[in-house]
Amino acid sequence: MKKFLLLLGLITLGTQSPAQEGTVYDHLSLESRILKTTKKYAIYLPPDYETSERSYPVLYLLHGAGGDQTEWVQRGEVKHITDKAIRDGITKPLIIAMPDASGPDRGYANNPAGTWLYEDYFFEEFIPFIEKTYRVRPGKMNRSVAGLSMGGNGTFIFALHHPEMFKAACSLSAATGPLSPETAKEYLKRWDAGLSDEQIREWYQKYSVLELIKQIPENRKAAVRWYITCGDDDHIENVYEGNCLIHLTMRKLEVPHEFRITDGGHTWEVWRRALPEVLEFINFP
Amino acid sequence: MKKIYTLSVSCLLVVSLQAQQGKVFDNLSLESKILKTTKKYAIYLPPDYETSQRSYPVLYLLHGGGGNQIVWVQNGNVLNQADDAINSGKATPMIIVMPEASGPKRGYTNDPTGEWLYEDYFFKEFIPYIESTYRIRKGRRYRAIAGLSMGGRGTFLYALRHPEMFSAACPLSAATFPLTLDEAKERLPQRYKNVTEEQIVEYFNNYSIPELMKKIPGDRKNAIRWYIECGDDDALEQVYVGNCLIHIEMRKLEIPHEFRIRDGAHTWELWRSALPTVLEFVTASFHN
Repeated sequence: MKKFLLLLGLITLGTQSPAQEGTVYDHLSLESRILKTTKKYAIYLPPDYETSERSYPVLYLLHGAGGDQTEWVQRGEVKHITDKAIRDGITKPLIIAMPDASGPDRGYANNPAGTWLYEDYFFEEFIPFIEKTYRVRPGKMNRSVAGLSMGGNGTFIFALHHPEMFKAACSLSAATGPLSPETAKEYLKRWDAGLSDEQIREWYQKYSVLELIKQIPENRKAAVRWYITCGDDDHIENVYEGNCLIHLTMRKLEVPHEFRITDGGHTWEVWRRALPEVLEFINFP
Repeated sequence: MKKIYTLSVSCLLVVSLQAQQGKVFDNLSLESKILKTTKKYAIYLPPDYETSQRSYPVLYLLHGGGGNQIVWVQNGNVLNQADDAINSGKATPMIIVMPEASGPKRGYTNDPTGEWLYEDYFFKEFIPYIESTYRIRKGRRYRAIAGLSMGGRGTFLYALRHPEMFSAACPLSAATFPLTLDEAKERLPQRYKNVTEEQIVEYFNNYSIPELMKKIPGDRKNAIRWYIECGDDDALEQVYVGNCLIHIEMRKLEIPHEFRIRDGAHTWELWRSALPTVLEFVTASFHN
C-alpha cells in the first residue's frame, strides 16, 4: 500500500510540475525566398501551451550584434525570467519569437545596397510563418517588438516603419545609428555600398531613428507604446548619447514614451534586469 | 510585584523605542551679516544624538524654488526616511541640515549684480555656524550635499565651485540654467533689471554647469562622487534637457558619475523616493 501511494504521489508530482515552466526551442528554422537561405529562430512557449487550447500574444525579441537566436535564451535567461514573470502575475502568458539576424550581413534593416532585404524577410515571411505555425493571437494589439543594442535599433526601425503592426516597442541600449545627416556618410562606410550623396540622404530619411521619429504624423504620435532604456555607463557613444537625444526629441515632439537610464553598462546584467520591465510594459492596453 | 515588573518592562520598551527615532527642528535661525537679515534653517539629528557622545557626518539638503527649510521635512518625510535608513543600517547616522533660500531673492548663487550674496553666506557664515553649533565631524570626507530642482542646481554649483568642501553631491531634477551664454543673456536681464553685459558673462562663467565641468583638471575628475537623477516626464525643459546634456558632457569629459532617469515628473513623489538612495550614496563616501 505504501509503495502504491508513493508511486501515485510521484506520478502526480510528475504531471503537475511541468505546467509551471515554459519551453524553449533554440535552433528551429524556415526557408527564406527573399534572403535565399535558411534562417534560424528560437521560440519560447508559455507553461500551458501544450495543455491549453488558446492563442497567445507574441513578442518579437531581437538579439544584438555578434549574437544570434540563442543569445536571449542563453545569456538573457528568457525562459527563467518569463516563467517567473508569468508566475508572479507581472505579465500574461505569451509567445516569444527570437529570429536570427547574424552573419556577414547582420542587422534588421534592408542593407543600404539593397542586396540583403532582412526587413522584408521579417515582415513578409517571418511574422506570417510564426503566426500560422504557433497559436498566436492575430493583430496589432497582440504583437510587440523588443531588442538589445543592434536589436534595439531593429526595434525602432520596425516599429517606426510599421506602427500599424505593433502595440508596443521596447528598445534596450539601442544602437541609434547616425544622429545627423553629416555623420551618415561615415556611418555607412562599413557597408561599403558605394552610395552617392543623394542615395545617402535618401537612406538617412528612411533609416535614421531620430529622423523617423521627427516624421511621425501628429495624429499617430501615440500609435506605438514606447519603452526606451539604457545604462548610465554604456561605453558606446552612439548608445548613451543617441538614447538621450531620442528622449529629448520625443519629449519636444510630444511623442509619449517611457525612458529609463539605469545603473550599468552595455551588458547582459542591464538587459536581464530590463526584461521583466519589458514583459510588464507590453501588457498594458 | 507583577505590576511593577510590567511597568518597568513597559518603561524600558518606551525608552528603547524612543532611542530609535531622530529629531527634527524646522524653525531655527541665525543672523547673517552678509545678507543683512535673519536666515532660517531646519535640522535632523540622528537617533542617538542625545545619548551618545560622538560627532557625525553632515548632509546639506537644499530645497527648490517656491520651497523653504520646511519642505524636505514636510514633503520629503526626512525624519522617517532618515530614521529607517539609519536603523536598517543602509545609511550611517548623520546630521541633515536644510537651509532656507526662499523669498523674492530665492536661490543659492551670488546674484550677478552683487547685491545678494547667498553663496558667500552659505560658505562663510552658514557652514561654520552649523559645524560649530552641532557635533559635526570636520572635513571634506564627512560633508555631502544634495537638493531638488533649484536646490539641485545649488548642489551642482556648490560641489563644482568648492570641490575641496564635499565628498559627494546628489542633484535631483536639477534646474540647469544657464547652459549657454545666449540663455544667460536672454534670461538674466528679465530678473535683474540693471545687469550689465560684463556681469552676465561673469555670471555665466561662474555658474554654468557644463562650463564648470569642462574646467575640472584631469586629476580631479573623480574628486566628487556624483549621483544625478531626473524623471522621464519632468515638464521643465531646463531640467529634462539640461540633465541629459550634462550627462552626455560628463561622459565625454570622462567625469565618473551615477546617472538615473526614473519613472516620474517634477514631483515630491520622485524626490521622496530618491531620498533613501541619496542617504545610501553619501554613506558610501562617509564610510570610505
